[in-house]
Amino acid sequence: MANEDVAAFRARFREWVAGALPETWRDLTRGTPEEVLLPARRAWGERLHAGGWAGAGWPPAYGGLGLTVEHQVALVEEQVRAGAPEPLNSNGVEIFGPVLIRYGSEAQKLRYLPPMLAHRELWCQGFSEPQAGSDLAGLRTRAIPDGDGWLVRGQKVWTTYAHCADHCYLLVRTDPDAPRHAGISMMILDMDQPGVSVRPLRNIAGSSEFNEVFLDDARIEAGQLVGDLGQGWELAAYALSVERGLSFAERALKVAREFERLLDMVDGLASEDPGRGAERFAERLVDAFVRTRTLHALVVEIIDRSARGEPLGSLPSVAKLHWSESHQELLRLGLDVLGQRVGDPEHQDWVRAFLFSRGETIYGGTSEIQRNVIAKGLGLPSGRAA
Amino acid sequence: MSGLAGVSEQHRLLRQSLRELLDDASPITRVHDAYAGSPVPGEAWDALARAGWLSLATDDDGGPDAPTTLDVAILAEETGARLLAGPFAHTAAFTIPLLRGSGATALADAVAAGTELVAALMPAPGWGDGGLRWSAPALRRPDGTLSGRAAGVAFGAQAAHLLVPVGSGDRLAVACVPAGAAGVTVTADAVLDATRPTATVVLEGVAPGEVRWLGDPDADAAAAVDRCARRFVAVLDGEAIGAADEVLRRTVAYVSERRQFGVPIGSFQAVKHRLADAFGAIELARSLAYRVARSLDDGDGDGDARDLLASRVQCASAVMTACEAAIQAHGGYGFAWEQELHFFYRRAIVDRAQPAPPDDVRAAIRRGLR
Repeated sequence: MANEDVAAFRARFREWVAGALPETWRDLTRGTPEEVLLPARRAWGERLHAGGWAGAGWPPAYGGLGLTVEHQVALVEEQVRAGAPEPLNSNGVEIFGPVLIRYGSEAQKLRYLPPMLAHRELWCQGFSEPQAGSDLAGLRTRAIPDGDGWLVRGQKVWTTYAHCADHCYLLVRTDPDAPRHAGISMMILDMDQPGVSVRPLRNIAGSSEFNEVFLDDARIEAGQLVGDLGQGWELAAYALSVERGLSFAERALKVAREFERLLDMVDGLASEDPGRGAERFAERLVDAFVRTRTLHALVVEIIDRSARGEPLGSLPSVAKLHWSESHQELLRLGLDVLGQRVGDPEHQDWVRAFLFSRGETIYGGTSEIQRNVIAKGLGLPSGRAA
Repeated sequence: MSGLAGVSEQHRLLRQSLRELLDDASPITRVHDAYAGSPVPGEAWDALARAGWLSLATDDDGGPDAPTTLDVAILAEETGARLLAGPFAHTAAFTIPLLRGSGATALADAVAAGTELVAALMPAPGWGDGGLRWSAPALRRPDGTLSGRAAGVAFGAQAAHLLVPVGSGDRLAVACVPAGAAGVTVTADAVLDATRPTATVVLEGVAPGEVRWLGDPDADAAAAVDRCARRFVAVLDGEAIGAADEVLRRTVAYVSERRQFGVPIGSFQAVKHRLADAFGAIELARSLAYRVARSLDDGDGDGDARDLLASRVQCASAVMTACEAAIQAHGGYGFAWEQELHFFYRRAIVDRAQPAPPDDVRAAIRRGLR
């Protein structure tokens, strides 16, 4: 497969998707009701795995396909083209999977990676805390040695899918006396145990995909420390860097498809009220188009440079910033197109997607943090108090 | 700063050699001189021409070693960063390839050598029949005379000849007309960018005897005009990116040195974030411009025409954004003539209307959306 010509590989996958992806799973957005979205995302993840298309970048030893970046891009582009949903376990497969492959023990890889890929075990990310958001290194959740393992006490927040996850990759403080960054470790937490309680948080769009996680002497076994004690910050930084990889590209490339949906919406509503057609919104549609195309070009440039092993500098931050702000603008334009039809039941997924998009300039590093990162890349002096 | 996929092996050497030539021939003092009344294009243009830099792009297969459009566009970042006093993108990407492609070899050679200056009346992009269409600034009337009008013609008042795309029925032809011919009126514009002066050109019943047709006037040259005009846009985008890079570089250096409240002003988030946004605008422009240039090199069809127009919009606005952030971050100094930032801003203001005003480019995109 890895030796297969990319065009042939793409054609073969396209044909498979056409047969495997039901109409009802296509073009779901973050505004689609959870009871529809979650089962579709899970089932799509399972189906990709059963079809032999999952884990494109993973080594074959752990169930992956070991494909080149070009092949991986083809898989992403074809899924975007077909309007496929993001697999439910993407946080595990795309973010923690690479961390484990790079830093985990052989036993950990064999134990955790295959069921992750198959969607038999779902994963969530335990990074943010009530007092440690953008300043993640200030996290306070403690792991205290207990026998040959640890007991964990503290609280995590904004933990997406904690309510259905089997495991959590967790940042904990293992040495409160060490400098902030040096006292952090990464561990695997089993969610189904008495010391873990999960309380759903309702988000701005009305759904409850993220949660608070309370840890009250939750047990972590000796074999569940990832990497070395005190190495957690390095692992977290690596996780955040891969978060800007292909799974981000998928989100970014989807914006082009949403732009086409917006044009459909404009045409559809104009058929009822000709005064509210494309001419009315012409300037902003052009702006949205330019933003969409520059986003696409930058994302492809980043993938291309990664494939050639060239440094990316702060380009991933530029891409995240531009994606999140452009996406908000695009969805906002849709609200204006809807006008008084904003309550139309047929268009509620768009409205909820707009509400949800407010989070996109917050999660994964706020826009303010991204701008700081870019400024640092430019060589501007630090303004932080010593 | 640039990713180099699709750039030929000799590119690095070319760029280094161009940089050295411009260090010597086009220091910023020459820009001051131009505003003080020194004739343009001046010595820097002559030096560039003598060294063969105007002949980089050809409209035929120049062989495996010929620079790609992407090569020329990235090299133009250097001329853009120096505010080279001369119509580099117009001449290297449009005029010379069009002259050579239509067999006007002697004139092409003279322009390339810097001994003749030809000003191009640029065709304007529009959208029709499902694709990008260029409209000519002049028409051939049934009696064979030429009439037309073009504003913002770079170096129109300095050139001995005008290169004129001419609409003739539903075809496009290309003519060369002496600037002094009867029926030709060239009026110099007020000098906004002294390194790139513009003029308004009016053609009114220019007699057939004054017109030199490039190729057969009854054949359709639309394909050649389309190729050269697209290449012009790609290279002009390169000049804009180079200027924006230079402005941002100067500004980062300034805010890292300038201290207020006891610290460098570049340590304030309000300053950082504005410069971060300028950097983002430039990198987005660069990504799309390179992609467009590569697609021209690959001979992709009309599918990328909307990207070409979007790139023009983004590059023109990125350099404006960079200049405005720079002027603000420099405070009172940014507002001063001696600071030089306004030289870049003036160039950006002139060039953003090329090859057509931003609103016309945006209108073409709008018609191309569906």
